[in-house]
Amino acid sequence: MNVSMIMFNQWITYGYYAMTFVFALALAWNLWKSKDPQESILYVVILIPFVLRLLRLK
Amino acid sequence: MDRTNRIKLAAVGVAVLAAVVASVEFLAMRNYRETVILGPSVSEVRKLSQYEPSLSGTPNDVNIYIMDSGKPGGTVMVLGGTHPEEPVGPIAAHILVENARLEAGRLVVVTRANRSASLYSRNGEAYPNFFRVKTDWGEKKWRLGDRGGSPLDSWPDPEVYVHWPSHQMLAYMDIRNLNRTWPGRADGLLTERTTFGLMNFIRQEKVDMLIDLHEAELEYPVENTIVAHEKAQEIAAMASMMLTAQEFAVPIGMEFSPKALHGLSHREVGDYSEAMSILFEVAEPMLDRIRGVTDESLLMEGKDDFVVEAGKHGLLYAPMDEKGWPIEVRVGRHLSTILQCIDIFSMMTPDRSVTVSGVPRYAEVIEKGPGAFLKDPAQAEKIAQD
Repeated sequence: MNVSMIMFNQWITYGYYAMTFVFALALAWNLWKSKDPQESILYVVILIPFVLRLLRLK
Repeated sequence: MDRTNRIKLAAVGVAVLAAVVASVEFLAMRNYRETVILGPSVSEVRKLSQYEPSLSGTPNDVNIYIMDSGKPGGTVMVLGGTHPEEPVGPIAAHILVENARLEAGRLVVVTRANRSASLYSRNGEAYPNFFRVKTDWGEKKWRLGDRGGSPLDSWPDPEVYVHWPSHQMLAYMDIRNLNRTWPGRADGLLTERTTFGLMNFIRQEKVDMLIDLHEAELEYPVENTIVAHEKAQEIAAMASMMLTAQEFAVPIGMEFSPKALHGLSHREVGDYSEAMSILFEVAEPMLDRIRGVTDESLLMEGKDDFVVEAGKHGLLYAPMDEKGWPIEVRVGRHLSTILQCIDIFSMMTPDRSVTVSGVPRYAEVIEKGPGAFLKDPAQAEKIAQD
């Protein structure tokens, strides 16, 4: 019982990392496609915490 | 390359540079190990995972320093580092481990009760990553952490934290706050499993009295006081009277642990074990919202003009003047209060007495500074790391 609940929590954490990866990918894609410089800078700024969390640096 | 792409490239470059700088600082803190010199009475250093195996391999598999006199008596346990942004707990805990001589019973010390919370700082509020205490042999350095465990070790938080077993609803981030997760549970998140492990230790090792070391902002009403479970009320009341009459310039009060406020050590440890549980608070101006420049000197010297001004307007629950609340006053108060409570406990239960010597009291810490009681790692025979 204990192990299964801890594992369940772990899976939720992995799910959040997966979501972070998807959002980071979407932001990077939008950055790549964007033609507006101001919008591009905004995408870069938003991307930083997603990348740092994925690398476990934040 | 057109202008837009050049701007994109420059923005990515600046972002990578900022991320690298931030990451280097972050890793320096997360990987820093604090050295604890094992004093004359330390007989054993255990791991918390011995009492809750799921903590093995996590940052909260903390060291438990056991000082055993080898003579019959009781067991007193002291927790430092429950909230790592309150530095007096770890400093006082180090002084205990490095200096205490046990003449009867056992003294158990945890220097970093929520180690995960000490591995990152509150940079958004300009908190420094480290703090240092000057000693005769150099500076001793600690991590200044945050209030709750690191999201790298416990993520995500729930929308609402439902405390176990009371089902009281608390703020979401309190699931990572060690002093909101007592008595813990074996299948919970990291901080709940940490308090569960500590509860197992308290029950299995028959701890008689648990002391949890804290600091508080002067705007907070629970200040310069001993918060006591019903079982520890007499000890807290006597300690408060004696310390106020004989030692402290600013009185120390005594408060009852509220029965309906769950998750706190002074409530749950008393309810779910045989131990008496008490919690100490002392004033720390850096925790106040109305403070000015937030840096290491404010943390250690406890002087802040804005907090002084707030005191003039009657907004504080502790006296505040230009002298502030320096670290020696805060450490001295906690050490004297620990010793006083142990003395009173031993007097009231002679068959479970704990006798400690070698630990400085308030006046001595103020006179010499806490650094005078921190040993040089280069000269140490035995060390451990947190």
